[in-house]
Amino acid sequence: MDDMDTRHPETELIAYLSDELAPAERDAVARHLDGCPSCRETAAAFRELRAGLARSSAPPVQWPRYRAELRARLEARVARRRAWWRHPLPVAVSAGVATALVTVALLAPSAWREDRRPRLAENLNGFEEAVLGTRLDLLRDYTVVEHLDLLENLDVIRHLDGLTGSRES
Amino acid sequence: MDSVTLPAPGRSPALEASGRLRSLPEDGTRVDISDEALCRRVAERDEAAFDALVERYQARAYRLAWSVLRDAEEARDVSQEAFIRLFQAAGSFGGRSRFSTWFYRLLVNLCLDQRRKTRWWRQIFAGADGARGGETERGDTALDRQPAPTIDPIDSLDRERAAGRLWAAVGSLSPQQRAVVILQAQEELSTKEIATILKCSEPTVRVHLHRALVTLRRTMGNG
Repeated sequence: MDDMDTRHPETELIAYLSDELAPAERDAVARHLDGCPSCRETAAAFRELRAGLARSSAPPVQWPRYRAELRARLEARVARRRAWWRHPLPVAVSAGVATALVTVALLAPSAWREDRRPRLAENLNGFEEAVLGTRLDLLRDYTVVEHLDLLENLDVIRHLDGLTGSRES
Repeated sequence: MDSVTLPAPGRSPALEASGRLRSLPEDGTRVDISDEALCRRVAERDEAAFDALVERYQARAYRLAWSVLRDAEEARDVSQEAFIRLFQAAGSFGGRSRFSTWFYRLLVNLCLDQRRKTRWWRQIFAGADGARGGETERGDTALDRQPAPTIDPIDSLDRERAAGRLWAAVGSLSPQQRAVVILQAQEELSTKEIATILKCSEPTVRVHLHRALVTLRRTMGNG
């Protein structure tokens, strides 16, 4: 028994209408259509639809104008490429800037996530050092200052004058 | 590419009145130049060959793009872009398939890309227009609101309306189904060629086609 005797052709019907079936399959579909009014009706409807679709009603085009537009677009595209090759320096600079921006964009988030408190403390130390630096002339008078980094007792620092005096004596 | 100087609009010295580019060998015989040979010449930056291919395919390219996109402006833009890509990529045409298949693939891909790009605002537009896919209360479709179509003078008003309804129904198909239906019905391409263009199998093409026709038949109230 033929497969097409027990079911309706679907995609086979499409291939049948396009005349793309092998002879045996084509005969099977034709036999089915002979005995199946519903499929005959479907096939007729499909034929009609395809005929309707073949008559495109696309809005009209002024072809000379179409070609002129195409030519202008193509020339603009060619000119853009030409400009690229003839001016490599700006392109290289742009590429460098773009690379730098991308690098910053990639690295900035991870840097931002780092704990900023130690860095603040470092900045404060730097600030204090800078203040001390402005008063080097004053510190130069204290001979003990060369060992300042060894002094941990703030009281000693507060009484530097006394220390100086005692050392002189 | 850099040295390209395109001829003035409308100038195609190599074109004959028939619209077919012909060479004129020394012995005087006239030989039609195939699309494939023209494409190879375009790859060597032969402007006359490019003009010839444009003239051969402009109407088909525009019609196909319009059928998929259903917008005259977009169809003109996308079909022109396809010719630009053809000019730029002619060297990559390997000749394993027919030129028309290669070019249609390029064009259909551009159309489908365009559909994807504009889908979001189309949905918004359709939403504002109601849930009827852009139809007005009178039942006019976007097609009816476009400039007068190219019609056969013997076509009746009823036939125009039927065509309008059919194309509005085509608008409800998926882009792939629409492409398959148009390539098959309008361009009369074989299932194998359509499968090559859409990069899918032949059974898939037949399934798309079957579903598209069933949907159209149902939408047209004929099944």
